[in-house]
Amino acid sequence: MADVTIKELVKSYDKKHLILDHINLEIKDGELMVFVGPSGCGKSTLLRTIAGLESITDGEISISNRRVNNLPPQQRNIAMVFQNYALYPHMSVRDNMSFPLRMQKMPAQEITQQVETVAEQLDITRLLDKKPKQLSGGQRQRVAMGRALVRQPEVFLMDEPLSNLDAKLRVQIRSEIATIQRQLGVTTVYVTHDQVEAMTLGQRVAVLKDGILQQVAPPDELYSRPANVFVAQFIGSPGMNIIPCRISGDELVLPLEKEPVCWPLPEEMRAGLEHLSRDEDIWLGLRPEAFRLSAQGQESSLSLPCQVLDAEFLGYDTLLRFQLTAPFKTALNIGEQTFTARIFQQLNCAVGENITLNVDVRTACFFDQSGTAV
Amino acid sequence: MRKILLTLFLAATALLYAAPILFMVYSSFKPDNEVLVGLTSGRFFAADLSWQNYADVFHRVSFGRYLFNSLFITLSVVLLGLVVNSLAGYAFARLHWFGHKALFGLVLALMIIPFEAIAVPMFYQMSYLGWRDSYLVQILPFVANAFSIYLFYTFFIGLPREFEEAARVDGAGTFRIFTSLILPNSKPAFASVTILTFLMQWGTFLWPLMVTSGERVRPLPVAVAQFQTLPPLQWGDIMAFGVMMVAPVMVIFLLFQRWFVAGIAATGTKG
Repeated sequence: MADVTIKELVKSYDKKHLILDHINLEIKDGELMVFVGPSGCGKSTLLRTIAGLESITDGEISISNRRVNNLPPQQRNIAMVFQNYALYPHMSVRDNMSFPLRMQKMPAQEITQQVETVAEQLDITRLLDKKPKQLSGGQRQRVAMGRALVRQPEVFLMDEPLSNLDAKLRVQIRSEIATIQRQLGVTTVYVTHDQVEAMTLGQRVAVLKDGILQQVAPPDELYSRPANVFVAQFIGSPGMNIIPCRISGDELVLPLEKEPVCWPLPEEMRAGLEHLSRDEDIWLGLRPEAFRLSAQGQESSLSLPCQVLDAEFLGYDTLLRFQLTAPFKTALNIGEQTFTARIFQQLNCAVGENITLNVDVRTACFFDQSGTAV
Repeated sequence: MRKILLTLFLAATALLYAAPILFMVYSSFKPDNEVLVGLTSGRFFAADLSWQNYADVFHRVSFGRYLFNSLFITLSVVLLGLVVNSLAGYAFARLHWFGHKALFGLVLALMIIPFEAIAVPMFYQMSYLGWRDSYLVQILPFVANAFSIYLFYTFFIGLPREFEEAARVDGAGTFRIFTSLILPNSKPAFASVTILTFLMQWGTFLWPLMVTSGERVRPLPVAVAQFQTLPPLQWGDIMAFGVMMVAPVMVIFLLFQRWFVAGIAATGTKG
């Protein structure tokens, strides 16, 4: 069992452009931490520096309070599952799984025993004598997990392990990974570009962008209190809607030219916004489920006139893509920007139709001009 | 109709290329005085065929010795070359040390230097070392080969890096990774290099002619050239000699053909 500590980690290939920019992160013993971000954000590189497959330019990585900066991968007591599984094609499943143990010079009898125990755990005993190319994607995935598990590592590293599987299998194996991780209690770092995977799997999620750590938090906090506009829009499917606004005293103001729309803020929200200077331009962040059709609207909510662009019926709910109409559209200077609402009621409107949506501001987030949450 | 014409054309072309070999094999069984009769003379296909020419070759020269020399030299170059060149190719493909790119560029540049250009200086060098008229002088200079290194390099660079990273995490060192993972998954590359080196080495003529002076270490290509000048001039014997010289190459090719084709496809080598 181990915790992983990353201090001021910098990675750069040319000493000018930083791939990882002063990362500070603590992964607790037994925790399942997910790194998520768009491609090229440095999440895989960060994982590979923990594995020892990439050197670091500056900073420190410790596993179980042991500085591992200069240790080769095999001395870090980690195991890794790769995106394309990296099973050795010329070896049977049994040989693949026993390879790391043979490298440790474990007695043959113990190897056999350990491999069979793990195979049973993962339900792959009947595959032991097959070659990787005879296996389906899901089976390969399980063998790759098995190869990592037999070593009983202190830290388990997974680099987009589900991205080669079809959607249904992905959901199934995702929950298996979560179950196994809970049972074994091994500290696990999991990299994915899929925010749904990150939210469902992670006990905590680290969001990265351009090599900079944006926020580390449990999934619910990431969703309800994103640290900045990037996290707000990246997390959630679809992401948060961002609308320019102003806070004026106790009121939220949408700065329309002739007649600004003012709306009194609920008591509990005022406290957090007191430090803002009067009439400072900020951003209002609204989750898609903060919108309601006006027919069912509450008196107290903010109303927005909009035009329906399209509606995706998803069964339980409907995703409504819309644009604000005049006077909001021009006054807020948002051009052709589109927004998405998640409506839980039957929708009786056609594409192109003008409707009014009410907004429940109680779940709103606010961001300053730099995009940081206020 | 087009297909028939195309087939005929291809068959004719194939025959054109195969004709000298067919002529050689057929003539090797003919009596010496029948070998050079014209195709239209009516006697071309009428000769008495026998193994006599083959027996004559063994009787007139130490063919066995030459065959052994050729096999020993060629197999040594091939086997040592596989070890040296594959390791070099792997090092260039995967290990990164200061100046490895420049060094690789230099190795590639060696491919454009024709052997004939350096034959004389090398002859002096070998004479200076006192290696003339030995197996060593025919083996050692040809073990490391820029083209083979390049072939291995292109193949290894195409292997998924994750294999090696997985093995590294599993606790294997670089040499272990090479022997346990790279070797078993690089059969096509090894087959291509084996066959290309074998062909090149088997037919080599100029260098052994320069550095050998007797039958003790002399290989087949030099021997066949000498055999032609050995009176009496007997064409049937020369053809039999030729057949016996080509046969091992044929065997090697047939043995490795499957991998050879795969290797050529995998390394993108042509011609």
